[in-house]
Amino acid sequence: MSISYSNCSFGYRRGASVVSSLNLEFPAGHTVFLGPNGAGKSTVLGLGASALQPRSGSVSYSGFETSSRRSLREYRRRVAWMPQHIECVPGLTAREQVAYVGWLKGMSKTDAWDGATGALRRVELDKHSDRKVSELSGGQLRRVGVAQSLVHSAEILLLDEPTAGMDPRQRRVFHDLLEQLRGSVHVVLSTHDVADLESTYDQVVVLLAGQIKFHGPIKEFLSRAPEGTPSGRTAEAAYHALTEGADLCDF
Amino acid sequence: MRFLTSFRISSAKWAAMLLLPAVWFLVIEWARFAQVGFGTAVAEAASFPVFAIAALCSACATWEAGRLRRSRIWSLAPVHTRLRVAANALLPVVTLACAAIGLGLVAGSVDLGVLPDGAGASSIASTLAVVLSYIIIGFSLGCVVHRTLAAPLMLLGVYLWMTVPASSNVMWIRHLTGEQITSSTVTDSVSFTAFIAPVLLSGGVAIGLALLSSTIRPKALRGGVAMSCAVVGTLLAYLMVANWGPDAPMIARTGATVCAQSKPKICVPREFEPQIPRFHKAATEVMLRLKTAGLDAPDTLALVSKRTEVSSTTWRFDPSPEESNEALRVTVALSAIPALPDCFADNEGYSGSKEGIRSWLLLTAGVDRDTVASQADPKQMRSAIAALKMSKTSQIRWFHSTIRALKSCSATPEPADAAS
Repeated sequence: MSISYSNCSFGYRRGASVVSSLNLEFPAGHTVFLGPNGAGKSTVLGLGASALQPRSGSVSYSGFETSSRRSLREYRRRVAWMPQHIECVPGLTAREQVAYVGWLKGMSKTDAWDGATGALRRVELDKHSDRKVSELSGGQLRRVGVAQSLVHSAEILLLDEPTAGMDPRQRRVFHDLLEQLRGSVHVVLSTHDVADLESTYDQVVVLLAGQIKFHGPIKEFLSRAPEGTPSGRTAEAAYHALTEGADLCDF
Repeated sequence: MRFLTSFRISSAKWAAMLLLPAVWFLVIEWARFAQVGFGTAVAEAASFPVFAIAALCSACATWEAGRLRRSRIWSLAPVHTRLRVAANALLPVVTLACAAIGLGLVAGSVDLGVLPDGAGASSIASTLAVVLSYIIIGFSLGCVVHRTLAAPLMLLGVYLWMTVPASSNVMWIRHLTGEQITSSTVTDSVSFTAFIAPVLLSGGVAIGLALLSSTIRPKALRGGVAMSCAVVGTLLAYLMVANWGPDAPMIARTGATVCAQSKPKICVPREFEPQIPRFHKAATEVMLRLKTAGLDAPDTLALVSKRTEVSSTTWRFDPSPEESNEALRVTVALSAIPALPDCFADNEGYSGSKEGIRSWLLLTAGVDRDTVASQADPKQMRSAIAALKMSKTSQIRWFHSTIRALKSCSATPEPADAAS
């Protein structure tokens, strides 16, 4: 059971295609999604979340297609989504915001309220649950975003740069959270942070200019690093090797 | 979002502080001119502030749409449809609209001393439908235009649309705004169509806009269906009111008349029932004098719609519970003059006048001469006094020949001419 993109193309407005004829299946487990800025990672995740609709082709998960009105509701229930930019409803507290997203994702208001408390606890934001979202820092807001994706007990989480802006301790907490989720929830996560790839993720997908450059197990990805790469820089070197010629300013 | 949370962050909270006192004030002001004890008037009074309710609530809806847009709610891939998410966000605004109308009903009931009756339900339903439509229109505007521009635009636009046409020379447009410019009376009710027309217009546009955010595919079909709704609603509304004059059509109020007493029997709308003994006393006194003067007294005095046929032995009268006994005698005496055509409508130079027989009736009924003189044209007063000096038979002949002349829009005779 995984999100599957079949011959999928997408472009913003009348612009050129960001993704064209994409065929991809995110495997079970934890997958890290790499690629330089502008490669189309957010677009692919947005398509996977059904926040964007493809110009052609289809996106499906567990037999539910995003193009079908009938199955879209069920699809969205099962797939959680944390966009890159966390925008909260002004005036809401962190708990209210998470509960609201839970309701948006099909939970009853009571269940969403109860679930919000647990989700905020998992991202260590329970002490700030009654603070207005407008008073939270950027890093705290991203944790609210993670809590939003956890609240409705989805089967797969699509997280677009969840650790951006988090301090090292919170990154550690987040990686611990991913470990807790292993086995129960599949995770697809885009990031520019290649530290601890081996210990956290099962699979790697590298996207370059809307095309899949690499898709495989973490060990196979790391093997792309040139020989003689220092052990602490294997992932970075593998990435460089795969994206040679592209804009590498991210690193 | 839970309702209290939703209300706490909603613009409806701030709008309520302005709208609810304004509604109370506007309803009380309107009710000053309404019939005390008339239940339909309570509903119509509560509908009067629709311009304020629709303007403020639609502006709030615009603001809430901007809030959702700013929060990028749609990019979170919600399970619920856009309509349901919008309905959830608009719940405080809709609640405010309902509360404002409800408060209007309370204010009207307190001021007029009666609960709203069933006949006013169409007025309230129309007001509610119009306000909901403008809320949807406001929300739709807020989805595409930035809220700091869209909200004041909606506030001002709806306010002007609902208030300016009332003084326009284009009659049909007055009936489409949702502001009810014609009021029911104890004898006549505003036609149901008057409540339907504005709902068709605003409802058609609102449903069209709501359909634009539906999931109908392809987009061209969605746009076509939405446009059709708006156009059909607008056309139907226009066709309904195209030939109307300054007032909406009225229908005779049925099933609300109570009759009591005898010689003469008094028939009045049920709101006036407690006044029947007083009406009867005044009628008995006046009828005795008119009978002595030679007029045939009627079997019944009835306060009914002019659209209702009455028998030849029934005189229409138009009393008001607030009238003094002296004024009541005037009202009863003048009921001897039947309904007359508007002769000036076809002939601006028409020279006939009912003022002579009016003064004669009042003097015959025993109304104080100075009081009659203060209300009458001196020439007509002289005619009445001259008539009173004639024989009883001549006076009655003059009275009846004047009535005949007025009915046929011919010149009314002088007392001396009638006597000869």
